[in-house]
Amino acid sequence: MSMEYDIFVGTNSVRGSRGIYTLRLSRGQLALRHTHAAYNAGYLALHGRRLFAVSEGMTFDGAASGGVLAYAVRPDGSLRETGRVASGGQRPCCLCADASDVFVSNFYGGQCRAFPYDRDGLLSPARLTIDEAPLPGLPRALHCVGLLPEGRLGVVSLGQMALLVYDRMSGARIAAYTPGDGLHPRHFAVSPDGGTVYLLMQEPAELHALALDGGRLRLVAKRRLTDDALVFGASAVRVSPDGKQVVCAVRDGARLYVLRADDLAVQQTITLPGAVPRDVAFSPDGQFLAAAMQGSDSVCVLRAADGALRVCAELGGIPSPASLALREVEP
Amino acid sequence: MTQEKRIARLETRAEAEETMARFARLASCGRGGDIPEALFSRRADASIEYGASGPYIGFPKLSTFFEKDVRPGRFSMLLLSNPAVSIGADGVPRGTWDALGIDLDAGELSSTAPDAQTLPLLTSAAPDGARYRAEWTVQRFLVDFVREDGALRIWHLQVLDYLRAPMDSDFVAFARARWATDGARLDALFTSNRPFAEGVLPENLPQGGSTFHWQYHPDALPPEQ
Repeated sequence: MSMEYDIFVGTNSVRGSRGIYTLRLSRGQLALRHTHAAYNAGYLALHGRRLFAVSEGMTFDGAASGGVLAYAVRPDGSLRETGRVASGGQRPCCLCADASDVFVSNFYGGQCRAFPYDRDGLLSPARLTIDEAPLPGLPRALHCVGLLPEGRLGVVSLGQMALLVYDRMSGARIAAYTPGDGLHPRHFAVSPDGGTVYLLMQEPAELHALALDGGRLRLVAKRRLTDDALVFGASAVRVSPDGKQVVCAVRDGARLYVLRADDLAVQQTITLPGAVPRDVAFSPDGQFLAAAMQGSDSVCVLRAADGALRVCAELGGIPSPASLALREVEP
Repeated sequence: MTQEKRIARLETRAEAEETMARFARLASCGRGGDIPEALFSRRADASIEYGASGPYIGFPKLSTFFEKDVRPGRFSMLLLSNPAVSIGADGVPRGTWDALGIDLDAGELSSTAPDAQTLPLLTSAAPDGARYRAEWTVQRFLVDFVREDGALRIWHLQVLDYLRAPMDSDFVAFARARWATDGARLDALFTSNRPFAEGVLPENLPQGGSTFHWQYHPDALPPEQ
């Protein structure tokens, strides 16, 4: 099995950022391999040898819009742009990809769009737009979007303060989960067997485990991560590839919470080196977890051993890292 | 209409034009930071929208547009023209101005080194490779005024960012090239030289998406607005 990994890091365009960084993790050491110019690559998604990124801005190619970019990943981890398209809304903040489409959530305007891509990675105009009016008093805005099993799509809507489930092809709404109590949903991750959705609230930082049951979402467990007053709040949740652990990042205090997946018991609390963990991501084999430390311009890596995560590598000089995607290096 | 009302309307129109002239003068003499206090409304819904920026609403947010370091080699000038001012039934004006602008930053030619964040905005280069900015801009200003304590103040300002180009290029040739730096430019425009207060998120985002945006493109028709 390969013990080398490419870590793709999307950055915000501040403090001299050079866009998307490719780091190589080899024998527990991190090194910068490549950079690819990009404006506000605030979220990344890998699908096979393709990397997709949002251009999280107010303008894209002269329009009042953000953008979506598609890249072919070369064997050495460098990127070649294969497609670009306006996202149809400003500040697109999240995206995910299946074998035929890239799904993008636009923060402003609150529209989620599906952009087909062909086998050359060329992006086409949107084939589907999901656009729901917000509830009274709430903004027309979206946050996270992610794939769910059986052709479904999950979208965190700030206009509904809910996780909404749609059919990926038709855009028909199938289900909704509203956490209530003033909770502000932000990010979610799905268990490898597709049976559980872990929905993270930004502030207060709280995790809800939802059973995906016949297209419906049912709360089965929840865990308050901290009672501290938060300014930044929680940022990201990921499930380990073996499905046994859920990891949540809380930006205040640079905290990482490792929870047992079946009952959300907190197994480990880690204070990461650096500041403001904006994203975390596991390697495909679950051996490593990377954290994007937005406030300290660094990326750190933790190794999984004996049921615990421990910091094993750190690399600075990466301005405002905001998003991560990992792959094993091709032999 | 009585003669008194006609005179009042003419005086209000002149007052609006003088307000915008003061705006242009302060901007061109390194006193842009004084503009909010001197000219803007303190209403909670006072706003600025620039190009595709989306609206920045409220005095602290809109002030970030003006709070900039005065550095050697920076100079900007607004030449306002074509005033079209209408007076509402309540006697409060609104108007539009076209503006030819000059936006200069000596960048790497200055004795003060530019910070890394502004490097992408230096769109010209000297023979020795030193980067700097010397751009023309063509804009339209849309202004709603409000009267507060007897004085006319800017309530909503929207700047339509039609054209910009380095002086050694032209607007048509640069129309596509500018896409690469449009986002960074908007970010820089709403980056204050004052630090963020403690206990608040260190980011300055608009309170919504763009209400209107048009910029020149070789395939674009003129804007309807």
